[in-house]
Amino acid sequence: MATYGKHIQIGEPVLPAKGIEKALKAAAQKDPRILPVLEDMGFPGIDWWTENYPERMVEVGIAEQNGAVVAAALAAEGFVPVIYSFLFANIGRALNQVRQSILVDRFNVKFIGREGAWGEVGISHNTIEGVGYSRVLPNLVIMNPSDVVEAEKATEAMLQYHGPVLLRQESSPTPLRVFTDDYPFNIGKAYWVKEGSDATIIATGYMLTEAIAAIDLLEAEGLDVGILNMCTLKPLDVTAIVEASERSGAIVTAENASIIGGLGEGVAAALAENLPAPMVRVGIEDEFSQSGLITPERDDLKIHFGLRAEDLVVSVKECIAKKTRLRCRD
Amino acid sequence: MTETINCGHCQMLLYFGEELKRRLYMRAIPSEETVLGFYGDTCPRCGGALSMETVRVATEGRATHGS
Repeated sequence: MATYGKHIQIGEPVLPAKGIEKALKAAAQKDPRILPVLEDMGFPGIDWWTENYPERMVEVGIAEQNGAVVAAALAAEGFVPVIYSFLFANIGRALNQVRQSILVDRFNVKFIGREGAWGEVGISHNTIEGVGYSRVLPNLVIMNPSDVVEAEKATEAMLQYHGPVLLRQESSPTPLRVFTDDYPFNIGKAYWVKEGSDATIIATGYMLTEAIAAIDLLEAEGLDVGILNMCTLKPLDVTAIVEASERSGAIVTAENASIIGGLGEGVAAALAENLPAPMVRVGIEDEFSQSGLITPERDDLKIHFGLRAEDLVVSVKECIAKKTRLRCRD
Repeated sequence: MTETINCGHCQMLLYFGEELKRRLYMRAIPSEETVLGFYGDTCPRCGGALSMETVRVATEGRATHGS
């Protein structure tokens, strides 16, 4: 049985949206400056707002570029607007307005962007590129929480922080509750879920759930593999990434997103410039997501894209083999 | 070049973005003190007083000739 960090208590699956909703409700009562900017969308996590504060919200309709500019103007007047939509819409469709009107002047605008590599919403909404095109934008903090507790704490931290933040809210499947209520979340700080000497899985978002499942399979094969949870995708915790390289010398990144521009590339750059180590990037490999059937027994897209615990096991063993070859060469 | 400002007490990230002194125009945030002012000079995470003596300012970027 794996030994996990002191703030880990693995439980049942819980929607991260419940954590976002809890944090937004608490903040809304305390701070009247906070208000959502909606783009013809209702979601778990925000629907309660429209019922409780109908006078304290802006609905711009399917006009995301307008939403970005309206949010910038609200921030300029001292409000804290939260643009809650699909990530392909609130940043993707409004990329120029987000850049010009929000990020250049670093207005205090928050984005909650729903995105994921699986689901039944179709190729247009089932996107996986958002982190890639957002990480290149200066002045933007990006977070991708892994469970309901981290989603709540990341939302609290987002609203405390003064500046633009993107909180990626992943679509189904529902991740396990992993963290205890006293989990010490801090923007920009990774968390060691489990230490290990043979390899480290650096996971973000839902893939932490698959990484935890993979650990049991790897332990059965006698492999001691660590997990580093990386909620903040910008700025990356380079110190923790280097520590992972020092501890295990083999790094597997795991993300429910494109491997281009996301966690994998960020970790690869950090390692290459500081302490190179063999790597395997697990994610979506330069292709669009698509629709898939999800039932309690089967998730077609998770199988299609190779994002199950069993697939992580294959990548970890491949990475350890690379490390062994490298050491034999030396 | 990026700059980070963290609370020296609890390490809360207070600022992440372009290095403030490198912005040559449209400087919406003229100084680190302006950033601390956004928080009322008090860390929202731990309640500690924020001043240039109690925060950690760090810049990150490639070394260049003369830097």
